[in-house]
Amino acid sequence: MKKNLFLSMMLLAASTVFTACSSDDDPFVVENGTVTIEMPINVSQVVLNSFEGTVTNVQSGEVTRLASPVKSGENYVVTIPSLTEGKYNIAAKGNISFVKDGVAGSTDFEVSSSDVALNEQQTAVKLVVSSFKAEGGFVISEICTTGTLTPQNKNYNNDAYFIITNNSDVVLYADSIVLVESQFQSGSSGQQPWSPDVRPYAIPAGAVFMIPGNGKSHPVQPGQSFVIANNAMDHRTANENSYDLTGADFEVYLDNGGNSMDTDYDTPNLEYIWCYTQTIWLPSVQQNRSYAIARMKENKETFLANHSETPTYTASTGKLMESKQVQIPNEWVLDAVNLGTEDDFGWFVISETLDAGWVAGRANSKDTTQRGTAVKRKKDSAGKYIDTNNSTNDMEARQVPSLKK
Amino acid sequence: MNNIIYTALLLLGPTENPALMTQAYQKPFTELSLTCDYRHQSDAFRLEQGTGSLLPEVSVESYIRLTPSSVVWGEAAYGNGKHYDKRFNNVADFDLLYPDVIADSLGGDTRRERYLFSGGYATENGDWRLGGELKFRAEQEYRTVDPRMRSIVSDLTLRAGAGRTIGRYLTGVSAEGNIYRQTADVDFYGEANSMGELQMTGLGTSYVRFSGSNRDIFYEGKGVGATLDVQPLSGSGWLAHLSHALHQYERLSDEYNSLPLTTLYRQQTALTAGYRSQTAAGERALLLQAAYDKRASDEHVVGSASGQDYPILAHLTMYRQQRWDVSAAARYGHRAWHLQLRAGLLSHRETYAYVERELSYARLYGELTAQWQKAVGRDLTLNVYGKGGYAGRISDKLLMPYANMTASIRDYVNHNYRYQKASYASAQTGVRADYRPQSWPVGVFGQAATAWQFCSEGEHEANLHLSVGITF
Amino acid sequence: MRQKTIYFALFVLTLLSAACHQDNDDYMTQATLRLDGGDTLTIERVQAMAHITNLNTRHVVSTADFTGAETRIELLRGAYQVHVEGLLSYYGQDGARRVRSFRAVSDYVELVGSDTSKADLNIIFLD
Repeated sequence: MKKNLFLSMMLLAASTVFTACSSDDDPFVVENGTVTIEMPINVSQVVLNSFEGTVTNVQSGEVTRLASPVKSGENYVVTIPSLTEGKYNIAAKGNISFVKDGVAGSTDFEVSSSDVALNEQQTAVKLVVSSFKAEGGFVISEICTTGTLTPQNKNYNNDAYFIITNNSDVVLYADSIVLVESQFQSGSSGQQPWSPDVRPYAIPAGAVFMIPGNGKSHPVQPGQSFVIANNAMDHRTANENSYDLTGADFEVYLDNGGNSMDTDYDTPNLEYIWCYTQTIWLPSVQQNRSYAIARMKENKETFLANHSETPTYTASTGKLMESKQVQIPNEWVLDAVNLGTEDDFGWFVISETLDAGWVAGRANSKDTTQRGTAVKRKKDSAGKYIDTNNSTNDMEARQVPSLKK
Repeated sequence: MNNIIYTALLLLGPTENPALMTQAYQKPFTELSLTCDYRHQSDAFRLEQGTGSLLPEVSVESYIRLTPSSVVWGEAAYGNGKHYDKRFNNVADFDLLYPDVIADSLGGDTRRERYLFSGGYATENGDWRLGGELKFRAEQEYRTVDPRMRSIVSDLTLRAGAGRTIGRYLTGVSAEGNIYRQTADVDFYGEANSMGELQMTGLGTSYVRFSGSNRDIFYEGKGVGATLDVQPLSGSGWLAHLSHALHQYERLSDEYNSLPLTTLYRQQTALTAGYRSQTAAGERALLLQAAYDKRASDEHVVGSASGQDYPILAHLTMYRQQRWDVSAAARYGHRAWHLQLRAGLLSHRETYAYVERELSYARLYGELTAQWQKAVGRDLTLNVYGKGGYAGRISDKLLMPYANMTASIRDYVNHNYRYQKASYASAQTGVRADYRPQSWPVGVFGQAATAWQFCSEGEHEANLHLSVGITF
Repeated sequence: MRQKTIYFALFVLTLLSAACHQDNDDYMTQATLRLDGGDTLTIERVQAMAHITNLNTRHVVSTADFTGAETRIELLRGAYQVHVEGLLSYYGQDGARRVRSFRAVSDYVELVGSDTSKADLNIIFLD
């Protein structure tokens, strides 16, 4: 009896061995799972230039590299070779080019997703590339058109320049950007009942010069600027109070069909689209015109054919006055700044939707103290230029020109 | 020690029911002893418990028969020792409180000081027996270099029991209550040494929000237990012992206005059943033993503080551990010899709910014990024993979200797992000599024992136990 | 007598097992996060990544699955910090459709409902 008891007890103990063991089901293997890299909806013509992606199995720590994505509609899709089901951390980085608001740009991106489940029920994962900001774009950061005074107190007006800055976080291309000067001046004497009044839909432009290029010729890094000079020479040789503009990126040159009165310096020239004069262009020393930058959306011939209205009005003398000009559509405009005389601001020469305010360049028509100063855009605490489309708030006059040495 | 070894083989282990102490020992005794225990592991089998310890202790133990029907017993002990290279564990009583401990990866040696007092009384009256016992332990564990941990423990247990003779059997029930307190602080005296302390929550996880500069915690614990015993009064018969205990330990943070971070719930149930046959020459017994140890740690999900009050949003049982130990033992005793063969299965499983982690292993073990006890001459008694055994791994599993773990936690979990899933061969031997000539008022004893464990990973553990003392 | 002992023993056992701790294992909640742009706009489509960080464990879960202005995700019950950033297209009061960059952030959101829970996040436009 005792022997049987002992035996049965051992058997009881032994049986627990088998019940305690449990077998694991083989884990499900996800075949042809997909990772969709979704491109931002506010840009177009997106091209993925480079891509590096990994999926890391949270449990094993095993890292699997992702293959190059294939374009599928607006987005890109990566097909993952077989992966065991489980939770994954997905990371991707690369570079995309895009067109936003007409301006071409490119940017690096880095995006990740943590603890994503990949299993029988969920074989598709989405990563969204939208966290970069293509906002801001190009802004006019400095207008220096007041000219300078020579040591003999004579006026020197050849040294005007404009500085345009990429105020966004992405690389933008300056190709096809035009510098625009308004046809009209903002003093009360400049205000006339022109008809048609193009301002609600376009800038009445007296000078339009375009940065040439094939679309990718002139990349501007985030935060970087480029200088457009009227004459890209070292003006200090002519007037020691002036600036050295040989470092400018572009210059304005009117070649007048080969019969130019302008001087062509070494700096690349802007392409002449339209100017009220064929001889020499002089930006507003009186600081009472508006300046803008816009993105040219048509080639020169088409543009001139489509946007060359000539507004008119009948003067009190009965004479029909004409304004020979071109129009830059407001939708093409990237940034605009109104300038005026402090005691005589008569009217907005461009649409107020482009710039709701204005900067007082000089105190009155006799004021010469603004010479040798520049109008500059303010910066915020993060180092970005402030652009609320209101120059009263955004710009400051009588600043030290940044190119003054 | 002598009596304990003897009765451990004869009965079912130290009895938990104070009412049954009236017949625990054949003769009253008082024993004053000085012991020293030394342990050394070539590589820490469990990082939290370190690579070894040196624990000298002086103690006095007494069992006195007041009247033929009542006994009183007591013990007092003081020990002051050292633990070596404890890591990821800055509290005392790790075995009691894990995984809810405060920890860092540096650790180091610790000093431990312990006071133990216990006393009890039991009486018989006809068929009935009654008994009560009180146990108190105060312990301090500290480190004198950064990170300076300091833990102070007070542990009080009260037991009451009743027994009744029914026919040939003695049955007993007992209940116990326990109150536990521990304060655990970690300080850094050198500013450059300062590092974050982790509030561990199981399997390498920690309560990240309250880890770091939160270095002062305290534990509040309470528990209840009950036992049921059936023994033959003498001679042969069935044996049964059932014990069930529930404890909970709440970990609170001093720096966050006594905010409870986690509560550990522990359930321990053990059952021994068998049959013993006793004759004048010797005895035979067959026993089946099953022990179940379950731990569950509830994390208190804390919301946003308004002033000094932190609301608890939810309680989630994130950590669970279940441990089964089932074995069968056969005993044979003849005159001076006693032999025991035991075989069993140990199954251990720990899980953490989210993000899922699991650690489990099972071992099949067998051991053989031999003991020889004999009076040599009139004055000398010798007690020699030896034991050999093997515990072999039969299954293991580890599931960890390695991608989310830092390197030091990864190494910590992998290190412990390496030894948890290993197989072990063990050997023990010891001898105790009691010498009491008739002319002496007291007797003296000396004991030496050594135990070794060899791990399949190539590492080993050595234990040494020495004690001397007087008995009267 | 023996029967009585057995019954007594069983009684004690049941008592003891009833006192055992009940595990709290309703861990997860189905959380719905809704982007709130106010009454003036109707959100058409959201293209954004949401990163949800558990304040107690600092575990991060991400999703880009938006249905309209909402995203649904299974989370461990607890308190979270939510960060959503991306683009959304909406119809303004004038009926015009616009696409703008936005960010919706909350430093503290309680998602502790046993089955479901929800939170609203206010949108701020970045441009």
